[in-house]
Amino acid sequence: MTGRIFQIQRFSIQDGPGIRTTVFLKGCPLRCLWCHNPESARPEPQLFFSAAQCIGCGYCFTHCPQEAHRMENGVHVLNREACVACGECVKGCYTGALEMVGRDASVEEVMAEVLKDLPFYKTSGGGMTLSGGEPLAQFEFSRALLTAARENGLNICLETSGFAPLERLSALLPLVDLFYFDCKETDPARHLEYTGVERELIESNLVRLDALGAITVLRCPIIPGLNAREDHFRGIAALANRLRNVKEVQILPYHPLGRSKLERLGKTDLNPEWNFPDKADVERWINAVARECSTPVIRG
Amino acid sequence: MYTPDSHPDPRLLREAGEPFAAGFCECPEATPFERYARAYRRWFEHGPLAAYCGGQLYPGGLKSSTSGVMTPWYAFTFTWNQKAFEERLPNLNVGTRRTFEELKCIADAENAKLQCIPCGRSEHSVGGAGYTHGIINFGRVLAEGLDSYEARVQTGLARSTDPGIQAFYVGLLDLIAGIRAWHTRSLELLRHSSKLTPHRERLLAALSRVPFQPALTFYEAMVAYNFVYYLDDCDNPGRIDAVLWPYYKAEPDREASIALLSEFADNVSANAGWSAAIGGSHADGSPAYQEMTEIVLAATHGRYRPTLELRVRPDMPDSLWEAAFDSLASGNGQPAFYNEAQYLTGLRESELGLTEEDLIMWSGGGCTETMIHGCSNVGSLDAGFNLPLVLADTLRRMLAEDSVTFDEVVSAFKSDMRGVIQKVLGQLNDYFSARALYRPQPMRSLLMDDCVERGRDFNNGGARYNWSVVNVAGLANIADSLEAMRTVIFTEKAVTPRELRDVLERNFEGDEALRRRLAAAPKYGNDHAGVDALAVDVSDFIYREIRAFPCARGGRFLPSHIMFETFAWAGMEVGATPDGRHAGEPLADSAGPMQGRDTNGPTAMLRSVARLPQRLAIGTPVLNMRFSKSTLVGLEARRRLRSLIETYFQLGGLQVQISVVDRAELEDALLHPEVHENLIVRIGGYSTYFNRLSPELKQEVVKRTEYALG
Repeated sequence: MTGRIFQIQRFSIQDGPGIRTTVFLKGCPLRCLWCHNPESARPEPQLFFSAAQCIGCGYCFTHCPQEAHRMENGVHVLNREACVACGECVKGCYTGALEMVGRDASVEEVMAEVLKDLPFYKTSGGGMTLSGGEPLAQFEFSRALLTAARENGLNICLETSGFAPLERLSALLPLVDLFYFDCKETDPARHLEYTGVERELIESNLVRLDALGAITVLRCPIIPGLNAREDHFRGIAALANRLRNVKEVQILPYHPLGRSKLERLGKTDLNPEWNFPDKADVERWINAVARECSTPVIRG
Repeated sequence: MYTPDSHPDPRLLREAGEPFAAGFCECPEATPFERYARAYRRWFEHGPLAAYCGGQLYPGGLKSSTSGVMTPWYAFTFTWNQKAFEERLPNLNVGTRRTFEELKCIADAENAKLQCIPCGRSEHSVGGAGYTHGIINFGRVLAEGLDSYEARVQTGLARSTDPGIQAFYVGLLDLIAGIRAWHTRSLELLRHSSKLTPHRERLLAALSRVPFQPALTFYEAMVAYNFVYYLDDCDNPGRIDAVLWPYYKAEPDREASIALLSEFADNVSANAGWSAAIGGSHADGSPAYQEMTEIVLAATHGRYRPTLELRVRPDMPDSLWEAAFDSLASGNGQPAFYNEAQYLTGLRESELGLTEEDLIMWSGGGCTETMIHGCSNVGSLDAGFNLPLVLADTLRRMLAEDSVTFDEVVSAFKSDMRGVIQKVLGQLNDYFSARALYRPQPMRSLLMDDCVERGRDFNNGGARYNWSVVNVAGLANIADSLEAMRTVIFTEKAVTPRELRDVLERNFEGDEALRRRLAAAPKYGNDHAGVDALAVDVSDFIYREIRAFPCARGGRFLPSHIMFETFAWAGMEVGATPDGRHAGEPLADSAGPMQGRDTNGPTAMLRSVARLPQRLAIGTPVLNMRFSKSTLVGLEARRRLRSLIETYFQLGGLQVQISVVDRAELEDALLHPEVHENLIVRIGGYSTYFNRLSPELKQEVVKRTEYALG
């Protein structure tokens, strides 16, 4: 069985205990306005392009079947309309100007990479994290991967938006040690506006998963101007307080690092207002949630 | 006008403030050992004394041997300060000036006798030049006192009939007389010091007993340790926790001990002194982690020297891991971590004749050259091999024909390496022989076992163990270059071998695309099986060639990767290499990947380096890692760091040293050195101040991959 992945990151330290390898699956049903990993949204392989890294060797100008690459006034220009992301240009590009994002990989191939760091997992209490994109969008592949990881005795974390049929979540429950469950927006109308999907299913999934005994960490991206609001902070605390098995609430302050990825995907409609929030603001957000929350609240 | 047979007037030299030279010139007909012993004696009788600063130890601060034209030095017995010579010469009266010029002639002749200083130099060598380190037997002085040394020397003299051996003992008696004079002068200085601190009386009382009589208390032991450290010219403190432990155990006072050891560490730092290995094992195999181990760590917080080497066993207590991380968090890059089990095995496998009692006293000296505390004369980076320079020659020849195969290139490189190794080590053997004849080391002969018992000078096989550590430079560049050629030239056939040769000659001028393509090939340090296998193949060959070459000093040549500051300038003379490195750019640091080329995270990097047959490079395969400052904050981050170290050791890694700095801080230090006076970085095999590095090296340190742990 194969799945569509876009990265396997060794020594991943933001996504669970110890030293881990995170497998990032491509494709997500949500379209969060602030998405930190915009290359993970669409399921199909895409072309990353960064003109600044081009040295003008000319390989892609002559090898693109669509003739999508050209030099204009000394600057490398990619015609996204013509590009079909076939990857021909990437084969001869050694500068990092052109890269393919997304490829098919088998369970065995992914596990071979993950197991390279097995000795480090053992001494650190780490293991594998499945992330995305949305792992539940590639349910069968995710289940096969988690089963293989379980067979190898790895500690397993799953990062999810929670936007999937409950059966998928509950089916993976025995294979997961810790769920990183997103809590993006607690106001239903805003949730739809910001993420493109309804909040209802996500929240009910979380509550029912909790009832089934899943250990969770609530991950709350906070974006100034969108959800950095008192009512949302209270909403997070209230949600956490409803859960029996939530271990921690993590506040993830917005960072603009996804922006360069958007640019490399050819997107230009970027919100220039968003930037790294002040440390003091982040402290304030954490305190606002922590005030009413019976679970530890930390910066994630 | 002046010849080596000149006889400079010792009286004029002494009056001109050159007692060492005066002593050396007193008896031109005596043996070299007697002449140098007399030089030491006069130095101690008449040389400058350090001022008393009011502390608990004396001497303190900068050693006095830094002033003068001809002064003692642990590495070469003496050092010649040409700058001081040139400054003083015009200010001397005619008679003294002539004497100084004669002296210069004699010093030159002494150096010429070593024929090959700088030794082991060839067009393919790096570093070395006979500079060396040692760790004297501090513990024996503490336990037995120098009076008993004198008795042993006299016994030896009474028993010997050979005139050469008699001269050796006579010289040692001269030296001891000098030490007595220095000791007496030190006591006088303390008595008359205007520094009326609470410490002075106690210090006087202790120093009136030690180091001539055995130390009875922890304080006396510490006073003796410090005094003898200066006596030996401030080289390595060695196994300090093991030596001091019995004294501490008898009267444990943690705070007082930390204060004393801190003062000692300040003295080591003031003299840019070197290494101390702590922890490890007892001879019966049990762990040797004592409270003293933690005290040494605590006492050296934030201090630049000594370089601490923590010998790690799987049963090292959690509290010591925490103490080690606390020390690292103080920002001095200390301690480095050493894999005890692998060192013990590697040293046993090297068949050096080590007893188990001596084996457990292993310690790095200098940067981190493997030696035995108290009884070894280990050429400490006697020479080094610049691998990319050799490869450049190989490629110039082999890439001339387009029909050449990859395997032929690899074979030719190995064959060239064999030739260079034999040439350089052959030169080194000649140098050892010259050194044995002409450049004795009286102080080391007195303080290093078994010179007195054997009646032999330290440089003439007097020490119990006599191996030589040599340096292997630029291994990663070789593996990366071979892999890039295999991929781009021999598999993908992007250009012909001849074209590659021309491109390298042109330093990639006009061929940036090809350079990028070569640079994009797999690189050592990313857990890539193919390129790592090349690193293993080449390193295994080189290690075995070095170890197989007979060492004239006895023992063996032991390979190492210890680039301290040399990886920057070693690269200056190397042209463009097929790994995409431009001409003149630095080489890879020590056993690690090329700077900035490990892009797959620290676990991948560690797995790559652990694949090397490291135990063959027991001289120490240094691995530098850099972590951001947040690294040591928080339990989880510390657990990850410990896991990285422990797992690397499980995989066979021997040594890892860790810098904790932020790139932002380093970049700021490039622009504003004045506000980063205390920024210490760990490079090559030791810690040093960032501000003391050359501009090129600063750039390289900034370039190093920095990992985060939390």
